[in-house]
Amino acid sequence: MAPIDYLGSSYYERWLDGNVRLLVEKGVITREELERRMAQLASGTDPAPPHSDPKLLERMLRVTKERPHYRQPGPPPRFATGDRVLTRNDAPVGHTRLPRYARGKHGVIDRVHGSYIFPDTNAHGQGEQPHALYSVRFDAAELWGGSAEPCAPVHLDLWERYLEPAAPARSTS
Amino acid sequence: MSRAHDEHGHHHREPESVLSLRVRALESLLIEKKLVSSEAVDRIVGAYEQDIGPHNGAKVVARAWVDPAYRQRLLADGTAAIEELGFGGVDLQVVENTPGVHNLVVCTLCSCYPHALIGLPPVWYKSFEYRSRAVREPRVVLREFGVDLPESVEIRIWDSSAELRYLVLPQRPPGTERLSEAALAELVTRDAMIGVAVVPAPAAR
Repeated sequence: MAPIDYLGSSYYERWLDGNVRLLVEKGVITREELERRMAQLASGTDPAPPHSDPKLLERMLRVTKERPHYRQPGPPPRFATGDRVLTRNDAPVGHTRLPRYARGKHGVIDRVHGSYIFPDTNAHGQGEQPHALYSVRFDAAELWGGSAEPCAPVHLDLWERYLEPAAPARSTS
Repeated sequence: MSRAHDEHGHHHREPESVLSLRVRALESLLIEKKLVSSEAVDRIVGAYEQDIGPHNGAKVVARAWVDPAYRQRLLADGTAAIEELGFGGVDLQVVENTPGVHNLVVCTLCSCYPHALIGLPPVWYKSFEYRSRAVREPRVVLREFGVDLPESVEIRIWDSSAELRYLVLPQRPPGTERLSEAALAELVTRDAMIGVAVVPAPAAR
């Protein structure tokens, strides 16, 4: 979605745009088909009659109950709780879950979550590539400098590929 | 966009917005292709309207307040602990408020939220203002929500950047020692489980 459209859209417009985009990219629907159906509905006819399909119903309802599938086996984690890390300073063109405000920043591993599907590759059809996900704690001053509020650390869930090892903090400071 | 105003409005349908038409067209196409069924869509919409809401999360919180062993399990593995109560559909981490620590949940990248336990997110949770300010000036934001914490209380912000969802386990208010688990659940609010409120003590009777 173009940034200017994103900023001007409502929450559900963004979701709709994303879903339509994916369905078109994957060849499930075409944009022309969608436009045509909109015209049909506007004139009061819906060519798709409601139908009942118990198996489909069960499959769709199960999604709201079962554990998500994001957690998948991967290589063992490189970092442990308490390790200091430095986030990569990168500005990828595609999807990433490393927010800009936390790039090139020092943090501490707070929790090792396990191995999770990597959205940065998965979103672009480059495979799930599951690997270690961590909760990383950042001091507010590291993120926001001198104007940071006191005692307000931010925790981010970050994949190992965003992280590099960092030297331990000076114990005297 | 112009809205059709008519004294006899109920006789004339307002022109449907392009957005609404697009949603209905998408649903119609997916039904036609047998990828969804209208029945399933209605059931899921109904579930979010009636079954899935903050009362689910409140049950989890109340159980944790009355059952220390459950509280431990909940903090260690939220996903497994909520399954004990019949809730699922989410990888969950629960973060606990204490006298020295207050937790606040946000999603700066989009609007990740533990739907399965507290329903659909409020509009402000999805706003650019909340998403950008909660990480940057959490104390100011909390004060605007009416939560004024001394600087000695650490505010831990959880930015839900991956697939895990966060739920705040609020502090049990004083004066609730005699309340049943069900009565305790009644006290727990959606906002308290996001971390923008504390659970107030019940009004004195």
